[in-house]
Amino acid sequence: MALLEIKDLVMRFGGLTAIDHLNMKIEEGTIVALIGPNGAGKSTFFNCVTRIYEVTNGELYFNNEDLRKYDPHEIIKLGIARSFQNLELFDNLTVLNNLLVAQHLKIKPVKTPGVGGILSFFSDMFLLPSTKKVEKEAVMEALKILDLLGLRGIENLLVSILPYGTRKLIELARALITKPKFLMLDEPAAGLNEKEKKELGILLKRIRDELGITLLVIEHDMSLVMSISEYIYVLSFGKPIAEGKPSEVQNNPAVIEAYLGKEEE
Amino acid sequence: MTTFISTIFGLAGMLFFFLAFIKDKPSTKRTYKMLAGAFILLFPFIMTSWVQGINTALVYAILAIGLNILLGNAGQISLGHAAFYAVGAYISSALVLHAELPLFLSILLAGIGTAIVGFLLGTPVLRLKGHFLGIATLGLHVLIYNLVKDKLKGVVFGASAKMPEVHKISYLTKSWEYSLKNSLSSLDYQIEILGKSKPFYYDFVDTITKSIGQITEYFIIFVILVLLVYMARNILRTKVGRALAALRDSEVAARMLGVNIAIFKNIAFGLSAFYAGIAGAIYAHTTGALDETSFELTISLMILAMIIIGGIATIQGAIIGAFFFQVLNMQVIPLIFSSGKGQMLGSTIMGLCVVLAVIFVPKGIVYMLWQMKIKLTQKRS
Repeated sequence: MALLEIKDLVMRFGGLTAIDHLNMKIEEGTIVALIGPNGAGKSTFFNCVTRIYEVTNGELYFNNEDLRKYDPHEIIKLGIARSFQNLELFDNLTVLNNLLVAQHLKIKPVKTPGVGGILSFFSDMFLLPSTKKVEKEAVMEALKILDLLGLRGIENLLVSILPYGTRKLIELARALITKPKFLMLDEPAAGLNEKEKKELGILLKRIRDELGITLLVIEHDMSLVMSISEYIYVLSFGKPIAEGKPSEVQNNPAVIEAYLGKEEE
Repeated sequence: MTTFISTIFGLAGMLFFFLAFIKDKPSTKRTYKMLAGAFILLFPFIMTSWVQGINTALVYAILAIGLNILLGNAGQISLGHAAFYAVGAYISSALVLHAELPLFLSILLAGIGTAIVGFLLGTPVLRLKGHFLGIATLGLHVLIYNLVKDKLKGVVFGASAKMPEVHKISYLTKSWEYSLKNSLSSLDYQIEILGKSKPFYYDFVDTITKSIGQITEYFIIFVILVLLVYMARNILRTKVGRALAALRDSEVAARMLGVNIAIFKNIAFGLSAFYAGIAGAIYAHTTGALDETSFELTISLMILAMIIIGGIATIQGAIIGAFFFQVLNMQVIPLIFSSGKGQMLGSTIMGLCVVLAVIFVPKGIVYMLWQMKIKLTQKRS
């Protein structure tokens, strides 16, 4: 059974069809790429899976759960994390606080069912030992992830003053700290130089191999896509035009046409 | 002579606060903090004529902290905050007058009650964003203002709209006031009948006796403010505070990380209303005059100006803004323009100050102080 299964997905905005009958199956433990020219509906697809957009038609299953039953803020509980094309970090917070927000659901000073939320609030209000303990654990967890990504030392800096490449990595760290099963990355290599792109490729493979996270990556950099992905879906103007292993997709005439235009033109 | 002493004392106090803020070395910082603490304790006895104005500033500081949680930390605007101020004042009044609850319990319950009102009203209003939210909260203010004016005032107070003396904070030290008056009259007896010379502390005791109620209010409101600051600081530094900051900076990312933004916007509104409710309750138990003019829209706008001048999204900023505004408005300007004509000129100058502050320190006084601090540390190293 596939980890993520999309059946006949249609997403329309008024008269515009952003995604047109997309089918997708992502097996657990794979790295899958979603490619296509600008405006093909790739980011829209991420927003459909994470429930930010209400899909016009089609079925979405994650781990056999119908995603349509969940609200956007509940998606993370299923184990789906994502990054954004245009960074969506919390700019006025420090790196550490960005990573603590990501542990929002985990930080529960009082775990009593029902009234736990209110009791936790009071625990926080007076900085009781229960709060101090969970906060400390959360900070340790954040530092661990920063170590993994080689970002130690910047935890107390404001995110907004950091260079673009670092911020990209922090967004990745923020997604990873939620301990997802499935990670969706929207153009992780955009704005990175060649060296950084290579390192990113290695890092993404490590994330899959060492943490066992299934990856779905939107990416324009073809050398990166070809080197890391095991399966590729190609979208053009919302329509799925090809899918398959990297070598198959690379030589697919429809894909070449979508990217370069028709030969006779 | 006394004005001279109190002016020097006041300036010294401000210097202590400034240095306690600016200095980095822990031992020096501690010294100035202790001096500032001593200033806070001695202030009402030396600058007695200022106490009433500062009490108002303390109440505004509570209001400003509340609005700053909503606007600065959660990024949601409210132009009708005076409405919650009114709700707090009326809940507390109703509780002492009709349920005969003790004073401090009613203040606390007024805060909680207002928080619940805020939380519930937040549900329909907070679906809106930006300008639309501003207009909706404005509407909320008009709604509550008129409710207070036409219905609640009569129900809670009858005809008068006055809080009886027994339910005022100043009543707590009424017995001290009597004993002070007694000792004063025995002093008078010694001076006038026995012909003794006037002791040097006579004027001092006389002033304290006249303002003992205000001095009591000062200390009690101060303690409440300290407690509320402590709570706000802890809330903003932990889970709820981070969630609010997250939804301010990026709603979509906050949702993806599991923050239920609808609930947390309500929590922000509720928290903010809690502070406004406590401030309103204190107002009810100090001023005592509770007609609707105390809760006009100008209060909302003034609080907004305070947090923008003081520094958005910081607790210190809210307090500094409230004091800056109040001290300028109630003390400094009347001091310079003591005649009747000056009053009118005063509001003009006040407005000008707001404009200048927004132009020259757009991020607020607190950020300006931080920058000074950074420059000073750089110079030294």
